[in-house]
Formats: sequence, structure tokens, C-alpha cells
Amino acid sequence: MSERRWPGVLAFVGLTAACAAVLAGVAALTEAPIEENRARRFEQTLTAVTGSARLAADVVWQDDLAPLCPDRALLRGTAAGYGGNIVWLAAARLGDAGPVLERVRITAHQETPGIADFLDRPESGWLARLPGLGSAELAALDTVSGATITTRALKRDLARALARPGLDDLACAP
Amino acid sequence: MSRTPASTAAPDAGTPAGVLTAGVAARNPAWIQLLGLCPLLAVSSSAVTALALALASAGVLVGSNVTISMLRRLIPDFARLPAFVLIVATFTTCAVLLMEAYAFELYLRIALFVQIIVTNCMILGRAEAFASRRPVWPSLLDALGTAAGFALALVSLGLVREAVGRGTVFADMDMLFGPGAAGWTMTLPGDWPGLLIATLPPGAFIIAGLLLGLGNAAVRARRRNAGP
Repeated sequence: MSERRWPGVLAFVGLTAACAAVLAGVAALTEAPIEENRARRFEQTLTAVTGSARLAADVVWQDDLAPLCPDRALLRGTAAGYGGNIVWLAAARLGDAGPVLERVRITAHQETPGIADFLDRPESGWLARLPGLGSAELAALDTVSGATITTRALKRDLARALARPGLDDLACAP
Repeated sequence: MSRTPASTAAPDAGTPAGVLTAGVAARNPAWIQLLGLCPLLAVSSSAVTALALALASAGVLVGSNVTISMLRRLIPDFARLPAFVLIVATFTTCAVLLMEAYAFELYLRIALFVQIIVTNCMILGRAEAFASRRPVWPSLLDALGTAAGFALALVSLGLVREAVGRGTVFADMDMLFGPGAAGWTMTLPGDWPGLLIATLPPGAFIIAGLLLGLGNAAVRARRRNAGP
């Protein structure tokens, strides 16, 4: 590198350090409200999935499963979607015929906006067809045209979670 | 560092008022230069999301223009584009963090499009064409004018799409201005049921095209009236 360029390189390095310092300051300033927002959002989702107001701290997870007394269970998982991980939370009803889905919510995803907007609208569209389905019925469920990878990944992951050994034997917390 | 002088054509070379108003009208980034159309079309499904993106874009534009103008003699010519992108990305990340902290519901709806402000050629264009060659005060005016022009385009499109698509105007403003703004919603008279396509991506193209055509027709009519 020519010696005449060194001042410019140093100026660029200094600019990079200044930008990093600004970002670190803003990140520190916003860390607490962001964590609070995320926790509140998760508890809203938890309440929507379980059907009753619930705090995240009240749920006792055992390997991505948690009992919901007396005859339900909470499941969580991560499916490999088209744009990245799709993080889901579901409630399942446990019965003699095997566990069936009760409600499913997507808590985070990076799927294509517009194409996969149905993931954010659990009350309508594809997600609304999931309640009442067991592991076998999920396999037969149609995927969404244009979002085949997304829906197939979710179907597989949900079916695998419902078929997990030990789901029926979840003990209720005292 | 050597810089070629900026174009002396009006209105950039004019008065402060000329610099400020050029971005709104004669050099409107969206309606005249057709820049930043991706977020413009994607986020303008309602007035509140359009206004939120306009505010975030304005913050990034003003911050980056002023910073680049202040540092214009320090930024090496051979690395000016990476330096501009670094500065714009810093302000964009700050906007994203602030939105996630203080306007979380809006963040959930438009976060992706706030993040891509960094690639908005309107911002990089003003940095390269104006802020890197001018002092801070004109650069600030240029940023304010350009931001106002972009906001005008975004909010006008958002208002029309919301009115046609849902039959409301200024709905959900509490997401941006707090609970006190929940009552700002106005409903169109006559029980307009809403035309769903207006809020969907095809509706964005159709309404943006119609507004652009109307604007062009108005400009032509004004020129005709002004005479030769």
C-alpha cells in the first residue's frame, strides 16, 4: 500500500471504531426495554396458546415439553424453514387416541414477507387448520402453494413433536 | 482530498429555502426520482406504517447527511462508499434498536423494511451527491427536504391505500404515538366496506401508478398554463 494512503486507512479505522462505540451505546440504552418487550410478547403468545393468562416462569419445560394440567401439554420447537428457523409454540390435548394439536403460534421466523404472512395470522389461513390434527393427520395436510418449504418444515416438526415418546406420560406439576 | 465540485444547477446551488424545497417537489425522491420504491410500496398499506418508515428514514437521512458532511475532509476518497455505507448502517441499526425498544408493535410489522433503509439509494445518493461536498448546514437542509419529500410520498400513498382498502384513515396511530392516539381513527362515511386489493402488494403498484400519473398530469398542466 502506498504511504500516502495510510492517513486515509487510519481515518477509516477510526470511523469504524466510532460507529461501533455509538452502536454499543444505543444497544446498552435499549437493552432493558427490548428484553421487556420480548418477554411480554412471549407471555402474550403463551396465553394465546394455552387459552389462559400464564407467565413464562410458571411453565416448567422438560426437554421442550411442559405439562398443562390436567390433560394437555405445551410443546415448542424450531423448524428449518425457507429463510431460516421458524420457532413455534403449541398446545396439545392428550387423549387415548394420541395427542392432537390444540393451538399453534409462530414466535419467530424469517420467511419471505408477503408469501409467508399466514404465519403471523394464526386465526385464519393454514395455521387455523392445525387444531384437532394428530401426527398422522398432519402428514396428510396440504401445504401452501408458494410456501411449500415453510409449511412442509412446520408439518414435519409438529408431527415429530406430537409423536415423541413420553408426551403422554408428562407428569403434572404439583 | 480532492472532490469534484457539485452541480451548480438549481435548486441545489440556490438559497437555503431552495435546497429545502427541492427535495419535496422538484427532486422528490419517490415521485420524481423513483428511488426507495421497495419500502415505499411494501410498507404503505396504512398511514401509521408509512409514517413510521418515513420517520425512521428521516432520522437515518438527517443523521448520515450531517455526519458525512462533518467528516467529509477526513473520509478517504478511495474508501468513501464503504465509509458512507458504514455511517448509514450505524444510523439504521440505531433506528431499528430504538423502534424495537419504544414502538414494539410497529417494529413487529415493519422491522424488515426499516432494516433495509441501509440499502435505500435515496440516502446513499444524497450522501454522495450532496453531503460529501457541502458544509453541514446545507447538508442538513438537503436531508430535511429530501426526508419531507419521501414522507409526503409515503404518507399520501398510505392514506389512500388505507382509505380505499379498509375505509379508515389514521387507524392504529397509538402504535406510534401512544394510547392517546387511539381515538384518531376516522371512518369514511357511507359504510365503505373496503377493497382488499388496495392493502395488498398489487394494490400498492396500482395506486402508486395512479398517484404518479396524477402528479405528472398536474405538473404538465402547470407548465402549459405557465406558457412558453
